Amino acid sequence: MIILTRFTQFVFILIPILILGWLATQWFVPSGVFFVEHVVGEESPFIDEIGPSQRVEVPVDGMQAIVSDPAFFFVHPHRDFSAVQLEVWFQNETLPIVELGAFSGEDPDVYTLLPLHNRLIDESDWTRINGEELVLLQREQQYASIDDFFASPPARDRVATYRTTYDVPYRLDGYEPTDAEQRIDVSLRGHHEFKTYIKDETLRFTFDYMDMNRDEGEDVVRITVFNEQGQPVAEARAEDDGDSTDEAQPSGVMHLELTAGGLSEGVYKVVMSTTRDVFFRSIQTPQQKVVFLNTVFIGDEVGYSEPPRGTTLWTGSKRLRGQTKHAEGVQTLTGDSGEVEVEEPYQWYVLELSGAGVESVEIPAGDLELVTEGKMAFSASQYFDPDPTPLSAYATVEQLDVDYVLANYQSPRQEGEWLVADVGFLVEEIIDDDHTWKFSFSTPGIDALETSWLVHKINAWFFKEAIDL
Amino acid sequence: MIWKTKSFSAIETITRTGFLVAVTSYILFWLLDALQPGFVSRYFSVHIFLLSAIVFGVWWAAVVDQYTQRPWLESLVALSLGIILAVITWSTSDGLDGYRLLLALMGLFIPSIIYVLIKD
Repeated sequence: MIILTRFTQFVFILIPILILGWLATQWFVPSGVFFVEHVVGEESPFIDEIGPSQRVEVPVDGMQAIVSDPAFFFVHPHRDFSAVQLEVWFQNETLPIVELGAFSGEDPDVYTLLPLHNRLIDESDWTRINGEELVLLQREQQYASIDDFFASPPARDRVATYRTTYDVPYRLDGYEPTDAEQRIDVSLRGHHEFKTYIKDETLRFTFDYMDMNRDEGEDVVRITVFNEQGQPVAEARAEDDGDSTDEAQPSGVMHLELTAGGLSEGVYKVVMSTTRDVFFRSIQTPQQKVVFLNTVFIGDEVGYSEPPRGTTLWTGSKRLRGQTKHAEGVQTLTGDSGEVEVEEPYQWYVLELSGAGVESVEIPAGDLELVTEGKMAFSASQYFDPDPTPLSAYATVEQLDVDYVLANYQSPRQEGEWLVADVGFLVEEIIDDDHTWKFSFSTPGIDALETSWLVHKINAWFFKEAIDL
Repeated sequence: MIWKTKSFSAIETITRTGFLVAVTSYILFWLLDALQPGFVSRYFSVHIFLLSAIVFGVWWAAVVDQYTQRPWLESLVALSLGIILAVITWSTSDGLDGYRLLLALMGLFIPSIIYVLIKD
């Protein structure tokens, strides 16, 4: 009897010791890998439910329909890790592209997007070569491997890219420099980026700008030039006008000159880094090619020019989103092959263009923020597109005027009725808010197609250095 | 005079061990979870040990053969618990303004009052 009593006491004491040991291994993760499995609809202390509720349906039987964009979820790691790999189990019958992004920058919000499913690539009947990370699609097979492709790359304008770069330099045949000064007469508000082309000439831009002093704080202007390798090669900087109040007292027109000589031929990116208090009223340059990237904010002209001048831009993009924040910015945007009415402030409107090549878009009233995945110029002659065509959700591979698609993409694997895709992020590129990481699904076109896709599981592997015993 | 070692029944020994292990585990895991939030509660509720302590405590009380009173030790434990409770109440009731002191004092005296009531 005494042996049984002692054994029972031993078991009672052993149980919390074993539990403590198990908890310690969960915390210290001696193996270096911590795994969390999460089926949607089940509670998890590590992975939250997908939200917000107006963009997702209630989970049923371990399945959740996502009906709008963007849907997101939060991950709560219990300690420091160096990387995370997320595995998503899903079904997607209709959306061209499904991606998962880690929230990786603020003001403006930036997500590092990685592909989960690209049906444009998976369902293309072009010849496909799978590399270790890259996928190459060929309209007609010319290359036996991806190494062959890079050994003898095709012209830049024959290649579309998806989540990768194509490091073949862009060169304009027959380009000759000129001394004739061009003037871009448009009010651009805040941060902008553009690309220009240089060949045997000095890069020179003169910016006329005003500090409108509508928000509190200093408004420094910094213009930086980057070469094709992404290295900074020139910079110009101007300090605040001395008024850091928000009393909306505009400065006079100020000038900032940027000059860089001795540059080799190629495409240069210019970043106009400043606050939204700064309005660039005009830009003068001898450079013949100037295209703005992704976003232009046509500023209002209150305190500068009444009535507002408006502007016309040229773009090769077929889909532009626009928004105004003032009643004065309500207007009709007219493209060569489409128009859209910006009916009220704080609503995004999409201008779809159906014509081929570069089209003009008239913006009669200004005070409009325009966002697109393509390029925009303020004269037809200034337009050029030095980047490979991006493969987006709004055109099939066949519709692109290219012969090759180069993608950083691995097709999802099939597990029963589910597709399973893995994406990995370095923790250093994720914004950490009190040990909470935000991830967002990107499903372009989901609202226009009035469709949905299903998520079953989100599993996570957290990585850190293993503990050597 | 013959000295005899005090002996316990097997069930009393087991339930007493169960109670003491459960109480010690509850305090230990609660403290670990307070120091590192989620250390325990991400996986299970720390109150499982409290439930075990109550079950073993009631069981032990039902089978105890002989009860020895240790008034000084019991008072000391009640006072210590009261101080801990008062500190926790004070530190977690920042937004309660005028009630804060009253609640902390209640926390201080509640274990002693319960002890006196049980003793009676």
